Amino acid sequence: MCARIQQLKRFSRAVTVTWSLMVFIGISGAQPAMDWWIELVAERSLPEAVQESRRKAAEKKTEKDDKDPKKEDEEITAKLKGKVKELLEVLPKLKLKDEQKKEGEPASEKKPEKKVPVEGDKEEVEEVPGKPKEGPGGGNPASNDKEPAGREEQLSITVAMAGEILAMKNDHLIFRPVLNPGKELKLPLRKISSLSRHAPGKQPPEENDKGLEFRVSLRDGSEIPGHLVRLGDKAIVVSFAGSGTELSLPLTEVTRIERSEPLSDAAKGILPLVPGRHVAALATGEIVAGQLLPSVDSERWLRISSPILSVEAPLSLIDLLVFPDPQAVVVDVEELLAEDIKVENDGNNGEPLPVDHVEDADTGTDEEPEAAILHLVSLAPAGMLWAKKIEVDGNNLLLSALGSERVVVPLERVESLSFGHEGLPASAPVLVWGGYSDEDDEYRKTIDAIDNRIPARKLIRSRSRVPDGDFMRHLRRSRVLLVPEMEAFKKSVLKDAMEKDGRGCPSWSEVFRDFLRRGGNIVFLSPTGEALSFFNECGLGPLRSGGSGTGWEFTAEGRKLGAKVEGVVSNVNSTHYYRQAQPWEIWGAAKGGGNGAVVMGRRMERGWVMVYGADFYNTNNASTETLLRLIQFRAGG
Amino acid sequence: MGRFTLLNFVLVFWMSPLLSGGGVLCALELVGGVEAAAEPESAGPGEEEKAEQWPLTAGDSILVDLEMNPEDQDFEKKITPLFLQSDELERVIRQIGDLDAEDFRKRNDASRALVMVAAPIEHLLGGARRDAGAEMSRRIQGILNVRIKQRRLDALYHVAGRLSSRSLPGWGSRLGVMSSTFDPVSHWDLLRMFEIAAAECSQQQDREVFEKSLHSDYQSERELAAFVIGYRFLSGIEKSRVTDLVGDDEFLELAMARGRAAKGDAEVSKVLLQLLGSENLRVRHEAGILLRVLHDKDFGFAGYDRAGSRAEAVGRWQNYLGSLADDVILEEARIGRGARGEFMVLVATPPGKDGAVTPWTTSGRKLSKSGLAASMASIRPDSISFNDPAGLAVASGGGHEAGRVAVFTNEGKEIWSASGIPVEGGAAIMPGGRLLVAIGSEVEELDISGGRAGVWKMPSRILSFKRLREGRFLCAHPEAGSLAEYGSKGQLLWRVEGFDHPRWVERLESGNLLVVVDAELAKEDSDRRPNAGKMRVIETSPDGKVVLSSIHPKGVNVISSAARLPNGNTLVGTEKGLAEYTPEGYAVKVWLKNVISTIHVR
Repeated sequence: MCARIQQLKRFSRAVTVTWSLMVFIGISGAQPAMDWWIELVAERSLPEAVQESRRKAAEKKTEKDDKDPKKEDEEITAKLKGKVKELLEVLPKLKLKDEQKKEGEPASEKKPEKKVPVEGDKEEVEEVPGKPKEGPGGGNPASNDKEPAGREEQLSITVAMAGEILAMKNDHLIFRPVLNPGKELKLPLRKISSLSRHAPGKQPPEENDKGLEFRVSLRDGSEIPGHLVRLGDKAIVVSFAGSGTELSLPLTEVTRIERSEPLSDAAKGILPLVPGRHVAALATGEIVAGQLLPSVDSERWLRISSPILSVEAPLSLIDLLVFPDPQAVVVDVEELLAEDIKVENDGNNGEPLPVDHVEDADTGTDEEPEAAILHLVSLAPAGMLWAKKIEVDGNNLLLSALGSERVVVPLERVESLSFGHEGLPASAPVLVWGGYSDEDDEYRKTIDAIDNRIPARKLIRSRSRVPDGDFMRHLRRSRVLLVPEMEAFKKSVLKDAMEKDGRGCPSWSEVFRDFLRRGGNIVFLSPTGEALSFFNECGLGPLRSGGSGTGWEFTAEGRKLGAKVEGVVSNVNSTHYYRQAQPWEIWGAAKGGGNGAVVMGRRMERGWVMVYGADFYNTNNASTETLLRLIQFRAGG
Repeated sequence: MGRFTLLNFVLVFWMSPLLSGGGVLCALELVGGVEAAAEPESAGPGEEEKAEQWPLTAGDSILVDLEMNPEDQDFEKKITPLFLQSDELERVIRQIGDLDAEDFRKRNDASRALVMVAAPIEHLLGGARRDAGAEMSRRIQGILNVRIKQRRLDALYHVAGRLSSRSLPGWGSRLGVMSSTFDPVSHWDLLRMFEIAAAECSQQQDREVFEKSLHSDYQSERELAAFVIGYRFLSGIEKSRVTDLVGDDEFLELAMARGRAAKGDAEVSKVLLQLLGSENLRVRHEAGILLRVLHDKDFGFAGYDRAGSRAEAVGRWQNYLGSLADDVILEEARIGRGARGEFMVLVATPPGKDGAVTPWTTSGRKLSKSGLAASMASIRPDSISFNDPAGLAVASGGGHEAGRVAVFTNEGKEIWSASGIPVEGGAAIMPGGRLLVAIGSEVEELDISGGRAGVWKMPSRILSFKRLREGRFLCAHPEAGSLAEYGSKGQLLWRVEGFDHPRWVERLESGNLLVVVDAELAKEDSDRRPNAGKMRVIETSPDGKVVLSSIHPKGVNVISSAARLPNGNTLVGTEKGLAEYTPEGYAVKVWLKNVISTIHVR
């Protein structure tokens, strides 16, 4: 009996210990939710080591620049002339003496190989001259020294962390980070550049929007996925995908309504633009233009009416419906046509729109929205909203958007939030198109160069060889199209691709022009050879290769980019120069006043085309900084 | 009482899978009824269920490659040749001696015979080569060229891990004989694995054999015997006899204490406390580790610290141990990385097709995927450091102006990162989520928002900054030629000077240091080796004062990092690639021919 009691006691003790241990393990092992990642951009003082290194680099550059540039050019010319002379002398003798010269002849010419950068050599940092002094105790125990404020040079860093959103209100976010779950951070929204369900640098999963049916695009850039519920005089009601929340979207703000997977071929391309008219491609194949009106019989139908015809169709038959630019001038062709064929207004067709003698909208006017803080709400699995205010209320996001003070979106439907910066609207995505770039080299390296500085959600990648539906959808969401060096481009390859996969797709020329018309910017990196011809044939030129220099520097006009690049930028193997010519603005010109330029831009339609003669095979800070500024130029990023 | 017990019982079964991943609690889970709660009997045959807890993994691939699959029926038969019996060992040693025989035929026969030995003997050959003449050295080179690729030493390590999980009877003594061939310093990890395997495989009838082995000529064998006695047989030995068994040999006392600690014997704490005051650096260092692991407490003791610091730390241990109850229950404490030899090697290279970080087995086989490696690749690290108690890893890299530092869970989830910070000297994580990043001659403390919360001003530039353990950080000062350890507030805890431009340092669990330094060039041109590399990797004693071995790769300008493998070999990463070297400096295998940024074995 005693033994039994002893056993029971031992058992009980063991269980108690086990239980306590389990609870302890449970508590210590339990982590806070890791639902969200936030990104903050902060300015901080420059570490001493970096200041020292920059100082030394600047001193070195100054020494080099102190040399009279003219003299340097003369020296180089003289050297070149000398070498040419030597070559001419040697050439006739080569055949006779070739064998004898095999041995011991140093290579006179470097092959233009691309070197793999060698890392790990930490002694590249220049040493401080003289023996470093050692203090008596080594490290300084006064560890709470804070650098004095007001240092001249600042460093911009981006911090990203995983955690849980506790609250969002009054322009502040309360966040609990996984790294320190005992802490709650109160962060001003203006300090947060993005809030996403995915870690920075990680590609969000491919959008599976097959079940979304429709996507409504708005003038402010928002895109709402969902079902079309009803059409009224002033608004269209959309049932928000995945939640059933109904959103009433003012028709004056809508730019297009499209089916996620168009049924007709017509909707896959670009519809003809008819100023002042709504243009609809129906699933049955018809394309109609006219005035969009609600149907008389049913709110689930629409009517498109013009002096010539009137069409009524269910909302569910829309493949693509393009809304007119409200400032566009109505062309009175229909009136002329109607008069010509003597069409009578029998009540079935809408009244032709009155001739509006308003002067043409000035397409050169800067149509940038007024400076306002806007936040980008990206939705899962697809769609996005621009909002003026955001609040978190339990499991819902409350937005001031779409003309309404309160739009409710379930938090589980939110993919990411990108907060605008004061004075500028939030930046829109950048589409990196590498359809004809070398995937393992220039394409990847271009992305690598910028993916630390541009949030992942704002970097869309496409390697499509034709402007298919996916590419067009990505392009419509973007403000900047970035084209890494098209090293793999050949006209024959393009032709094959278009024949094989590009049936029904618009031409690249049309795609670019349409994008520019909508205010997008295009940045081409180092177009050469056939890619340069492609560039010109798409109507983005004229652009020609030009004379190179020993380096290049930003011009006075180029300084508007705001790139933090001082002095002359050295050439790398791949630096390419273009001829300075109208209509290009020269932003980065060859040093010494030659006729070559590395960075150029020109205004086209409502956007900009920019060319940068760098392929990013080899990257450095100056080239990355320049590219980022080009991307951000007039994009509000 | 009965209801309470029953409630506990039910709750244990119900809650255990919810509160943990299951892995930790498997060992604690009650099985069966009340009887299962009794103290476990000494291990005997039939504990096959242990093997099921440790299924075959990628690291065991070497066993499969050599047709020693632990899941095969005849596994025991297949691994037998890996272990030398006493007579076989004598024969091998004789044959090695014959490589230098007068008779040419004898030398040839010996060469042929040694090539065919099934057990790993490369370490014996390497050791013999040190003092060999030209002819013998050449012969040994030839034998090693043939043998080295078979990786039998790797297989031996993994087999030892399997033996400890299977507890096969009769293997204890074999392990003892095999252990006698290894140097206790250069094969520290391997011998720790041998010890536990021998202890698990031993039975009562083996006691005499181990007591006899306490008087072996070989230190490793003596220590192994002491471990087994401490682990398995101590309860059956009178206390007075125990003292006789170990005599004045502190290494034996330590080994026995290791065995007792591995059993969770709380009484061993007093012995370890005493050993903290040993004159011998290795003894007091390991005693400190054992106390820390046993009690899961750290009072700042390091065997290589100054006497004053050590005395203070010992005082703190005394206070703590004095406050414990008599019947305190402790967990089993084992030292040596990898309870059963499960390792992964992370190799970081500059970004390329395969990504910047790739995982490998310790036998040199590339693994197909690892969440942690894939996540770290985005950092392009040139420094990786782990905080195992917190289950976190820190990687930093990306160069001087555009550096990145990030914190990951062990599963590879990125939970914090900062871009634009020029972390060139390494990074470490502190409690509360604070990061320490080494930039130039400063160590900055970053708060969770990336702000600068503090700075340690160092006397000179820092490289290879990493967390050793709670409140202790190790780094190299290349210009000052020193290595140092600092506390949580940046106070200097330990320093050693006299190194030639040290640029990378790691402290092994044995306490020894692996350091990358400039190679000394021979003063005379005639003495200079052709193609001599500019750097070398040295292993030193824990206080950094005695160089124990040196690896000097040929034709290499930059060594970025080095890492010790469990088989005792060292991985060296250079601008030419990644290669594995024996403790004698012999190149075993080239793993990669890429520029290596950093390597980490965990």
